[in-house]
Amino acid sequence: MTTSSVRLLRAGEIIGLPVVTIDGGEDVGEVKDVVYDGTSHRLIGFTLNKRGWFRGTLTDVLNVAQIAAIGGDAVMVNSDADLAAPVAAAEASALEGEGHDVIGTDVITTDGTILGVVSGVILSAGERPAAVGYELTDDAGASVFVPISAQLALSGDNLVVPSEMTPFVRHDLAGFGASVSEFRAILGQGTDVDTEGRTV
Amino acid sequence: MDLWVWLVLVAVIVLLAVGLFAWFRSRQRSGSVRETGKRGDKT
Repeated sequence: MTTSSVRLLRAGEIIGLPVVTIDGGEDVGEVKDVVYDGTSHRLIGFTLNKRGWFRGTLTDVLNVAQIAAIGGDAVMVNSDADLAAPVAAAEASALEGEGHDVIGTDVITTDGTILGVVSGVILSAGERPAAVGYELTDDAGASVFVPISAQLALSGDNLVVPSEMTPFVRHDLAGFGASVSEFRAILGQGTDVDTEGRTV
Repeated sequence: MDLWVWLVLVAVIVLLAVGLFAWFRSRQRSGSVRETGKRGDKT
């Protein structure tokens, strides 16, 4: 368990945030898609819209390596040249449409209990941004947070999670970071999530 | 045809064009949270 100060935030809250340059203070775009790796769960980057509703999408993508900070109100980059920075082929294909939308997927435990439907993804916004959990909506319409582990299996229609994870399910985002850390400690996986689960 | 018929026709066409543009732009700009990898993969 670590005590680093990594914040947790909902990936959906990043969509629509302006991308602002530190050197000039310009709005160079706004976040359209949030893309992360389904295996390592690390954030790959963002696709972008031009600023202003009447304008279209940007062909440039924002790789995670070029992101200076992800704040509550803006995504910061050092300069607008960061948008045109070269991207590795695998990451470029992922950013340009590969992958699937996780929202709406049913989540079921290995002992056959349906936990809910994925309504969001929780990211840690530290030096190595990564997906650390899913936000689900259960039958009663309440939000439930479950940690992501390396043992998750994506089937045709459902996200199957180990039944050992059930004690680490939380009903609010505050404290979810601690839940992720404890769960990963049991699995013997590293984590950079703080124990307070601070949010933006 | 009377002038008012033409005016109504033009107004309907303009409204349709604006509605189509708004729908297309809304779809184009809407974002998603995407996970790479295919369904059926073990992660």
